[in-house]
Amino acid sequence: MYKIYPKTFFVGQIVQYLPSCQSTNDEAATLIAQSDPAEGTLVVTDQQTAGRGQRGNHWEAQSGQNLTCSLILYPTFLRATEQFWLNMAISLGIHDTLHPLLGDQATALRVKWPNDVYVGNQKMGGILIENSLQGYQLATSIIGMGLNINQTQFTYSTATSLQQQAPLPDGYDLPGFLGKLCESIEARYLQLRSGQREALRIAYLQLLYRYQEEALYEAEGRRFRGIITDVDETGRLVIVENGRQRVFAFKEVSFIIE
Amino acid sequence: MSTQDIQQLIDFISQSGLDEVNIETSDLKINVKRYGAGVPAAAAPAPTMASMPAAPSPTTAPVASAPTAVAQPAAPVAAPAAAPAANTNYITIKSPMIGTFYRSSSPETPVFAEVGDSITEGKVVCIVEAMKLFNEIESEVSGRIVKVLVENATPVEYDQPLFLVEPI
Repeated sequence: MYKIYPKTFFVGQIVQYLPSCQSTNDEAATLIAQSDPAEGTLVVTDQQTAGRGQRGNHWEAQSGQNLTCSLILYPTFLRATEQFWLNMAISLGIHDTLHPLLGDQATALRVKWPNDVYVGNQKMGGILIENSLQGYQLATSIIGMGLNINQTQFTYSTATSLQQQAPLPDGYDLPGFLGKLCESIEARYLQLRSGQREALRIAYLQLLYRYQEEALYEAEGRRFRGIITDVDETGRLVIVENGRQRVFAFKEVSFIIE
Repeated sequence: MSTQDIQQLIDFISQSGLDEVNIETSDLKINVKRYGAGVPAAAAPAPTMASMPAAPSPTTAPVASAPTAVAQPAAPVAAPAAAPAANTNYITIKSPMIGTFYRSSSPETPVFAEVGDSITEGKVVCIVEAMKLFNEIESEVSGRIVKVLVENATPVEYDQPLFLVEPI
């Protein structure tokens, strides 16, 4: 059950809890199609049976162990070309909630471009945003979030959880965590809505995985060493190779782990 | 300068990233200004549809990004060039952003819109994905899909026409 009492204006004030569902993003889309849900409405489930990662990839989570939810927002103040700002604000909101809980590991908390949550070289969660556009503006936005919280066994060694990184004797209280998450996401969203983009951009870059570090990448079938220096207006990644700036869209570049 | 010339000029300016353009000749003064602080997407040559209606502001043009033209012609504006009769009324649905065009929400699901389908305003016709953000594109017109102009899962540019629609 999800009784949460976030100290927010709208994020998480209405929660639709489903013990199990295919995908909280799909449930949120149905909600939008059938009713007129208030901005900030949250769909939460204990078990997602057909969660989506990037097209075709699936997000697996043990029932009741982790946080799987979708947030409904109406960022009509953003143009379609500006939507990466939403991604930045949400990433920062997630960061702000996790950071104080991670103790020694807090400095290893990163966002791997464009939208995975990492601790060190391991993935703790991901964000999947689905918008509907009206003309050239955003109309509705469904922010799907999956965060590994209490799960401690993973099929892949590249996955991790909050409990693995910063164990508590009884694990984490999911509704309590969700309440805090609503607060930090709302704070960042309001920051975006009030036009404080530069502050968001600077904070986002600071927590970007491999920001200003030399590392190995692959693009167009060729490996190269480069340094991430920026993310442009449309969300593309800027990597400097031998003093030359290169700009990549998602899937045009891969991060190579050495 | 014909209406079509003016339209082409506006299209060019909206693609160029310039915020304001003033052109003055002996018989014409034209001032085009872009509204809003939004940064235009990277300039890319959007294919121009020969069959576009020769109106300065096609119905699919978004209000927010459409530059406004203040033309003060000293001579009467020439009548729009006659377009091929069969195509005169077609409207394009354009991509509001750079990204990857998808005709269905996943490889297993049917396409949103097929040639011959009747669509109504607000109907989702495709998805454009960019940086892992997925965008459902809704039709702003009612009509019948005449042509799908882009291959599934291929890149699209800002303002690139995606569908040709015959209004009903």
